[in-house]
Amino acid sequence: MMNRMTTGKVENPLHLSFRNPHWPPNMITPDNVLDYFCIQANHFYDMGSCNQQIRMQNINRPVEECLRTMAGIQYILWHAQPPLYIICKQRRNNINNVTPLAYYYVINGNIHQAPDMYSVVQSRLLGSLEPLRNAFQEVTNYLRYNTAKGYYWEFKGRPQVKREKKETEDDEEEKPIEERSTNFQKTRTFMLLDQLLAELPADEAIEPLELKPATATTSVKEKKAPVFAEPTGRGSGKSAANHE
Amino acid sequence: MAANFWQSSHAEQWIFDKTELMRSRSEDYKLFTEEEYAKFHIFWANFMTSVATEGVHVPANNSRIRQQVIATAVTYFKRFYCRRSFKDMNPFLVSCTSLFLACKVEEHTPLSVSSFLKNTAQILPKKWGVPFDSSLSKNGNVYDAEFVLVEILDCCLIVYHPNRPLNQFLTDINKNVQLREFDQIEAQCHKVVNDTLRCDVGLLFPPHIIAIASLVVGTELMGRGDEIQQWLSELSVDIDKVVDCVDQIYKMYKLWRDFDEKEQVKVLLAKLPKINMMPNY
Amino acid sequence: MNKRYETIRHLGEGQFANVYMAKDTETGETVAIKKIKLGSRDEAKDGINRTAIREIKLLKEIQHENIIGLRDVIGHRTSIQLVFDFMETDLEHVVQDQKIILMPAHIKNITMQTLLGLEFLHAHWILHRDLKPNNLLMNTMGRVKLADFGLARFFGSPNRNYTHQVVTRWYRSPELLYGAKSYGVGIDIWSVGCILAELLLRLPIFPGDSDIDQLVKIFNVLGCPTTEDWPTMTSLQSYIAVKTPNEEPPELQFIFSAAGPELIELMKSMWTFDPAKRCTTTQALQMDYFKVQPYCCLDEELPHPNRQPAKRRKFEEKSEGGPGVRRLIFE
Repeated sequence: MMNRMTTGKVENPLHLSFRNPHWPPNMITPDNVLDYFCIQANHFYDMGSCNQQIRMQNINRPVEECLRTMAGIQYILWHAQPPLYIICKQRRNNINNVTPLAYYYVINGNIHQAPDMYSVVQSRLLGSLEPLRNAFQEVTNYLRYNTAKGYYWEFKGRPQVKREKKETEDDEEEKPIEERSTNFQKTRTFMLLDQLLAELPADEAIEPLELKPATATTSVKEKKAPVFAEPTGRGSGKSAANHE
Repeated sequence: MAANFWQSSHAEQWIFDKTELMRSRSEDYKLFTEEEYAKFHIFWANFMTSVATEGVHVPANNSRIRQQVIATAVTYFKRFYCRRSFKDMNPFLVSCTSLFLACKVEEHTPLSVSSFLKNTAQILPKKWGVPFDSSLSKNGNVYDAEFVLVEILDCCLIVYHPNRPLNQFLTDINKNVQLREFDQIEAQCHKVVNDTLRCDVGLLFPPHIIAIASLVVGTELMGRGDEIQQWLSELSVDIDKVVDCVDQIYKMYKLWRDFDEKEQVKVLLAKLPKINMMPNY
Repeated sequence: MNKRYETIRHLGEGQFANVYMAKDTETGETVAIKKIKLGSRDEAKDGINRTAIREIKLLKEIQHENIIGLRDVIGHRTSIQLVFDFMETDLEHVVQDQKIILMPAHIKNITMQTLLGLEFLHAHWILHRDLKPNNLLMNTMGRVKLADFGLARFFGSPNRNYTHQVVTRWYRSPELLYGAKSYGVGIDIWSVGCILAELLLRLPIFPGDSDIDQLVKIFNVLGCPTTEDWPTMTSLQSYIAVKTPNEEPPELQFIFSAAGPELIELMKSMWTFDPAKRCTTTQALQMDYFKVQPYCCLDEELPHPNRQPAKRRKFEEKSEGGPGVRRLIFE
């Protein structure tokens, strides 16, 4: 009931996080992370979901196996790389069709909802626009004009007061963003993501568009090169396999 | 027992018209005249009432068999002989079995078959001077007959009696018309309803018609028929049927009055063909 | 057996009867034949078994989609056989089959079918008096039917006392456990509540192993009734004040964690202590639970247990009088 009530409230789930108070985070394993996630107090968890149906009905079979035959909202473990786990909330329409609805990161026992692309871009744009605007504002203070010289800069004797005031405002605005994750988590997540990227190169998915594989690792470069350069060439990697 | 009468097996399978009834009894009318046949049924109803209300099991169980059970049993008996002839099965056996089955259907305290048979053996000579056929006195016969009875009745075991509608009508009358000595009228009408078991109205009319007819007869017998005329005229009921039913009840009373049971039952019984102990159908 | 019906196989054995699967050679349909046992010499004294009489007399009069149909009665010199619609399974099997997960729409469908059948019975002034998952049969079309009318009887006649030793204990209502002599539709409603809970949890909710334990189990979940809740409680024949270890009963929502608030509301009204305040079938069918999503699934969408030789085993267990399965002699 609690859960239902909170979902009724208009609160951005991206601003929320949850920590299961009954579990020490170092106890979480790929096998039990769903149990960690699926508790009533967790506002990301829908008590009417298939997972809860299975729990309520005391079914003694692997959850994954049960979920496959059920239709509705489900939570599954999408990826595990301790201490990061990704849980996917999906709607299963039938046995081989699912619609992903949201992803959740469980990192060191903290659960966050993964933001969607829109939110990320929006947040980044907002984040960059604001300093940009400030910069322009600042800079216009130093702009001078007279008919003889036209436009010119003058950096002398600008009032300090204004600037300080701005800074305090900025601090206040930026605080909530800072709070979302700790420094450790940030760096750790970046590390993990880098590692992920190495394992599953991003350019594989967008291959046809990428003429210059600038960001990919060297090994990938080697692989890709023949595809563009000489189709029937050295027979290394994918292209050879394709032709045979 | 207040389930819907109009959807019941009673309404659907066990209400006949007169010609149907005559036809189904054609076999027996070869043995008896119509009058004899009617008298014979009066005797069986009396006999079953006696077996149920008098005799050994009464003090022992300390509970008289309720009128409802008797009414159900008599109805079973009549229904049975609508479908079968007296030649097919011994009516003594059928009557005992009907009572036995009715007790169970109406959720009456169980009664042992032996006590029924013992009763029959006592009552028959005492009341009607008829010797008791000892070959009847095997419990097994009753058990076997029970199956046959259930089957011939086509498993229709729930019978709707006029007593319940009669009670409703009486309450209604008491509310609308102020009558002197209402309890006497009540008693009289219930007596008439119970007496209707001795004729065929239970096979011809639905229970509410019989209840109204009993009301008419009951009040008329007390000479107070006029008092309910007003109430009757306001009823929306098939009045022809009621009149027909009233006639039948009077006919039965007349017949019953002229029926010297001690003398005539022997004669009637003698007319029965050699009775099959075991069901033969 | 009978010329018309060809026995296919023995399905199971109950206390009063053997059940066979048979083919009706006239229609080609599969039927279930219940062969009433003659029983011991003592029972034979009573002629046709009373439970059989009850089934025959009631089922002959009532026809409803959600009530088992009595197709035929075969009288035989030594035994009586009742021919019923053949139903492949029952809710006990459904509940016990771990391969099945009951979705909310399934549960709603089953509850609705049960209530519709029961509503019809109650409208005809008949109490079933022995509702339990085992007596709710289901066929492959997903039709649920009430069966086993061996304890059923009419109600509503005033001043008539009935035995309180009806209904398998786990599904028995508090007024029966307190020895009430006059009762009504509430006892069946209580049982439906227990069956609904069992569909949700897949375990019996109140598995008491004695009458007292049964009350304790109920009060553990629902709390102890007060005289305010149920004023006539203390006047019941075998009333005793039962103390339960936990004073504060848990919220039902906590037990039925995946159930919506409408379902919880339905269960609460089915489990009202005072039988006078407990909902009727008609009221239950009009509650919000049946009006909110997810709606009932189609009958044929109901899950079906794979047929296993489990049926036989269960019947045997029962004849030995397993826990909670105790049918007492009538009156």
